[in-house]
Amino acid sequence: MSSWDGGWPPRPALSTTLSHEGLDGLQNPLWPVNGSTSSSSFHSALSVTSMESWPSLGPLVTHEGPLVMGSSRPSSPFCPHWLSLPEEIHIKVLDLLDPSDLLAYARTCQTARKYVDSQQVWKHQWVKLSRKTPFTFLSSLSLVDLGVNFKDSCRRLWKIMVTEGEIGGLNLIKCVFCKEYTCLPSCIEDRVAKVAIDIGGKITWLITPSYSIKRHLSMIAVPKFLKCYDCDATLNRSDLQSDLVMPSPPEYAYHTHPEQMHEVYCRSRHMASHTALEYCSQPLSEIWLQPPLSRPFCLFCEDQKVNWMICEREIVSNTKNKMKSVRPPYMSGEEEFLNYAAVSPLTNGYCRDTGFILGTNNLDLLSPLIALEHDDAFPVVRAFLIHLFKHYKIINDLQRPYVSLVFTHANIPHTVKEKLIQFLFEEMKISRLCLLPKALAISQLFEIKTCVVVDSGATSTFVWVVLDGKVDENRTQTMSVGGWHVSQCLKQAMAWQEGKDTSGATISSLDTSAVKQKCRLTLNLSREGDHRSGPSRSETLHIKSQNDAQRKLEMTEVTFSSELYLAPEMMYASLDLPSMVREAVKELPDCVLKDCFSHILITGGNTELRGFSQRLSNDLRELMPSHAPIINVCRFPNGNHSWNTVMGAYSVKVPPPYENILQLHEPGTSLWMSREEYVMFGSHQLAGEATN
Amino acid sequence: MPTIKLQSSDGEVFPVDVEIAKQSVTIKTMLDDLGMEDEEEEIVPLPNVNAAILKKVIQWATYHKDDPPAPEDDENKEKRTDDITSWDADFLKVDQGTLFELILASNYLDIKGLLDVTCKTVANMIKGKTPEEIRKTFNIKNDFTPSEEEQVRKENEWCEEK
Repeated sequence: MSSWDGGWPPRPALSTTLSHEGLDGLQNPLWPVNGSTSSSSFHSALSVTSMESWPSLGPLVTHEGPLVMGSSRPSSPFCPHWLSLPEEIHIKVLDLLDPSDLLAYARTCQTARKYVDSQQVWKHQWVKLSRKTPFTFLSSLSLVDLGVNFKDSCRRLWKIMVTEGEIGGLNLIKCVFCKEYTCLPSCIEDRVAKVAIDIGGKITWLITPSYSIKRHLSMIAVPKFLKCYDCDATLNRSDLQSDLVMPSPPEYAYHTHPEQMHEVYCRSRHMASHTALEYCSQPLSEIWLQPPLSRPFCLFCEDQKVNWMICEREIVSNTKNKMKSVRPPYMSGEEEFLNYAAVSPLTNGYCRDTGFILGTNNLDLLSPLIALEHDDAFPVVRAFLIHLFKHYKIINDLQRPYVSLVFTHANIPHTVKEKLIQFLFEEMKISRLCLLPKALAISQLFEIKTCVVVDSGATSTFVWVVLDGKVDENRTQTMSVGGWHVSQCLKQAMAWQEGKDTSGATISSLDTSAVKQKCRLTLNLSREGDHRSGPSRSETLHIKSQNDAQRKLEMTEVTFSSELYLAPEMMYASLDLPSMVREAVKELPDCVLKDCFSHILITGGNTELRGFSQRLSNDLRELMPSHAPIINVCRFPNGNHSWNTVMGAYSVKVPPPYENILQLHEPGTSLWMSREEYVMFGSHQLAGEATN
Repeated sequence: MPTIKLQSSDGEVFPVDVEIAKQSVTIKTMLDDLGMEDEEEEIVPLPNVNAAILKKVIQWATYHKDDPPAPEDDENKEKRTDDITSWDADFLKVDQGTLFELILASNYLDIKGLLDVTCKTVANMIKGKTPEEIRKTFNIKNDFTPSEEEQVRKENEWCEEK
C-alpha cells in the first residue's frame, strides 16, 4: 500500500502505517490511538466468524491496510483509474449529469470526449431536457429512426429554453385557442396569426399580428472605433462620456474626494494625450462584444445615442484641430487603418447620403438588405432585426405558439439563411418561421401561380419567373437600379441648370413621394421635347436642402420642368427592363410563356412612377412582337406600392405542421419551420439548397 | 438462517446470509441455477472481487437488506444525484480507488442499489466543475493538442452563458 500524504482526513500518524502484520496482536498499545473502531469489532473483522459482526465492522481497517476517507483525492497507483473503468459505467455516470457538466467533462481529455459524444448519452439528455419543456416533440424512438443528432437537438433546445440573449428568456405562452404550448395541427391551419416583414433597399415594412403596418428605414448605425494612428490604441467610449458629463470644477470640488477629482481630470486628458485620433470602422464580427456605446443602434429611433455620437464627433474634431499644428501628415496606408473595405460594400446611396447630411463620420451607416447578401455581415442584420422587434414590441407576439413570422427574401445565400434561422429561433425564440421568396409574396397577392414578377424597388430591380407557385431561380434577373437613381438623376439635372442654388439639396431630399408624384415615364420622348418650353409642364416643389456651414435642413423652392421626365428616362434606360424580362423567359415552352406574358406583375416603389406599366408594356410588345397580343402588364388594383410585398407575405397560408418531415427544402419555394421542428432537426431542410 | 460462503479473489472466505447475498443478481442467479437443496455449505468464488472490497460490499448489503427492490430504470423518470442517504454517504467516504472498485464489484455482482449510489457519488464529483477541476479530481491527463482543445471548447461552449 502506498503511504498517504495524510492530508485528509487528519489522522494520527500511526494509522497510515498500519499493516496486516501490525495488527497481529490486540495488545498493540498503540491501537486505541485510532479510536474510531472498537477492539471487539476489530477482532471479529479479523476472525470473520459471525454474520452479525459485519454491520459493525469499522470501515477503516481492511486486510490491505486502512481505507482512507475522502473521495476527492487521486487514486493510488494500485487502484483503478477512473478512465480505465468500462464504458457502460461511464455512460451510467454521464446519464446522471446535466448538459453543462457533460460539456465540461468532454473537454478534459480524448477518452472523456469520446464517451460524451456518443449518441446514446445525448439521446438520454434529450429525453431529460425535452420532457422539461411544455412543447410536443416526436417520440425519441421516431427521432432515432429519422437519424436525428441528439447532441445538436439538445443544444438548440438548451439555447431556446435556457440561454438568455439580447432579449431575455423565452416567454412560455399557451395558445389562446387550443390551450397548448405546441399548437394542434387544426389550430395552425385555422387561426394562425402572422408577423410579416419585408426588408427593402430604403424602407422595411412590417405587419403586426393586429394588422398594423409599420414603416422603418432600412439602415443601422455602427459606431466606429476611435483609434490613435500613432499608438494603435482604441479609446474607450465610456471614458469619453465622462468628459461630456463632467461637472464644472468648483461644484465638483465641493462634493467629491480629491482623488476622484484627479481621476476624472486624467480621463479628460485621456483623449488629448493621443496625437493622431482617427475613426476607423470596426470589424463586424465583434460588434456585439463591444461596450454598449460602440454597439449598433438605430439612427432614427435612438435619439440619445445619436446626440451622444454627434457630441463625441465635435469633441474629437476640436481635439484634432488643436493637434493639427504639431501632428505630421498621415502616411499612406491610412485607408487600411480606417478599415473602409470591411463595410463599404454594405452601404447604399441612402446610407451615404444620410451620413453626409448628419456629418457623422464616426458612424458606419449600413444597409441590412445588402448585409443579408453577405455571409460575414450577419451581425448587421441581427442588429437591425433586434431593433425592429424591440421597437415595435412584437417579441412576445413572435413567441406565441400560433404566430408565424413571414420573412421575405430575394437572394439570400444559403449560409446566411442558416444564420437567420438560428438567430430567429434561438435568440428571438420565435415559434414559427416562413422564409418566403419575394416573388411568391407578389404572386400570392395577385393570386396568380404562373407569372413574371417585376419588382423595382428603391435600390434594385428584380425580374422573377414563377412557375406553378415556384420561383425558377435560374431565370432571376437583377439590376442594381431603382427609385434612388431617379432622384440621383434629378439632382444631377439640377446641378446642370444655371442660376439655381441647389447645391444643398441632397438626393434623399428628392427621393420623396411628393417629388416622385410629379415625375413620369413618357411614352414618346420626342413629343415631350416639343413641349419642354411650355409653362404648364414645369412644377415648383419644396424640398429640404442643407446649408453646408450649419448643416441645418431648410425648405427650398425648386422648379423642375424637363427633369421630371428625363430623370425617370435615365433610370429606365440604365435598367433596360424589357431585355431583363426577355432574358428571364428565354426558351420557356409556349404554353407556359403564354401564362407568363399574360401575367407580368409589377410591384415596388419605383413602379409607382406615372406611366411605368404603360411604358413597359409598350416596350415589351415592341421587343417581342410575336407575343404582343398576349403581353399584359398588371398593376395591383390598389396601386403599386413599396408595401405590396409585405401585404402578399401577410396573406400566405400556413401549411399543416410535420408535413413531409424529411423532405428537403426545394429552392424557390417558401420554407416553413416550427420551433419544434427547428429543435429536432435544425435547418436540415436547407440541405436541399446547399447542393445547388 | 441459511448462509453461503463467498470467496474473494485473494482467497478469503466470507459467510453471508443468503437473503443478503441475493441482493446481488449475479449470486442470486448462480444460486437459483445451482439449486438450494445441497445443504453442505458450498463456496461461491468471486474471482473479480478482492477481500477488502467484498467486505465493503457485504457491509453495504447487510445494511440495505430490508430495502424494497430497486425500481427498474425508467427513461422517463429523471434520476437525481442529491438523494444519497447519509449512511450511504458516510459509507462511501473512501478513497477513489475503493470507490471505483466498489463500482466494478457492484457492476460485476449486479447490485443495482450499490451501483446507483456509487455512480451518483462519481457524478457529484463532476458536477459544477470546470474541465481543469475535473482533471484534477480524477487525475486525468489533458491529451488534447492546443488546436484540438480549441476545437472541443468551441463545440462544447453552448451551455456557458454569454
